[in-house]
Amino acid sequence: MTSETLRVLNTMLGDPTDEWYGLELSKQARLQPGTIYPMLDRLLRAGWLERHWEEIDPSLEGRPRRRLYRLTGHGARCARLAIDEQMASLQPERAPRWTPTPRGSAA
Amino acid sequence: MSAPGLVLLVFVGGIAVAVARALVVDEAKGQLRRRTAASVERTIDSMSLELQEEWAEEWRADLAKIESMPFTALRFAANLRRTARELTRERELATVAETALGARGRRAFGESSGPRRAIARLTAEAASHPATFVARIILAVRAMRRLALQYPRTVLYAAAVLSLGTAAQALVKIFTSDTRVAIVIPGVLILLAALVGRRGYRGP
Repeated sequence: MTSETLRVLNTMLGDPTDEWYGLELSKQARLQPGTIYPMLDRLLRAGWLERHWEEIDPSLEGRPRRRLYRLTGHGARCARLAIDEQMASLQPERAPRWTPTPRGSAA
Repeated sequence: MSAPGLVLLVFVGGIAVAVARALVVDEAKGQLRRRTAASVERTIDSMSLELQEEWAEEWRADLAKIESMPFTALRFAANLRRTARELTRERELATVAETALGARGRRAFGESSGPRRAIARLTAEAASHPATFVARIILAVRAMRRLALQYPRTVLYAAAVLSLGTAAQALVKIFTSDTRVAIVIPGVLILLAALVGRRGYRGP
């Protein structure tokens, strides 16, 4: 899993019930604008995300409707697991404990 | 020129420069906005109809949100070109993987169409557009190479299971000429190997 995907999942896990539109999500995850869609597509096909169109009247709101994304229950669990795994892999390995050699014991 | 006249001249000149600058900036912003919108539309047109239906409205809505920020919008349009290529490639890859992996591929890639449908579509294409068919074969070979590079363990595992099955079949044929036994025993071995060595799908 790429670091960009992990950033997106981490952003969404901030509030797993929250709904995001693509541009807002890419801004929060500090991605380049317009680069998030293949990632969303992959996550959708894996069943980690679900999406639906915003229910507004564009003429009343004065803007086009947006497509909103949300983590599924399965997606939230898998995302937590993936982030935990990533965090664990970033932990530095514990260095072997150094013990002083008693004086005069060498050779 | 008298001092009040000079002040008036500087004042009028300043206003003229400010107005001209605003006009030039507005013109430049308008040009950038039109270029960005045209670029996004070209990108959308370059995709398959299926992808257009899936993404066009969302991209237009996202562009509308940032069109007052010309440089962000330009970056958005430039990145969308790469995104469109990536989405197209991934759909092709998913089709090939689906055909190759069957039910497991359908589960992993979430597509409803089965290998039979893909084969039927390819056959129909071959009959109607031979050049497209050849292009698709090249694309499929590239996609399989990409798949092997992306999932070397899975490909290695599939090759090992197939080799085991073939070896088992050859071994069984030494001891029996019964075709059913020669098929059933390696089949059971392949099934066992597949069950024992199965790795869970870990997501994208």
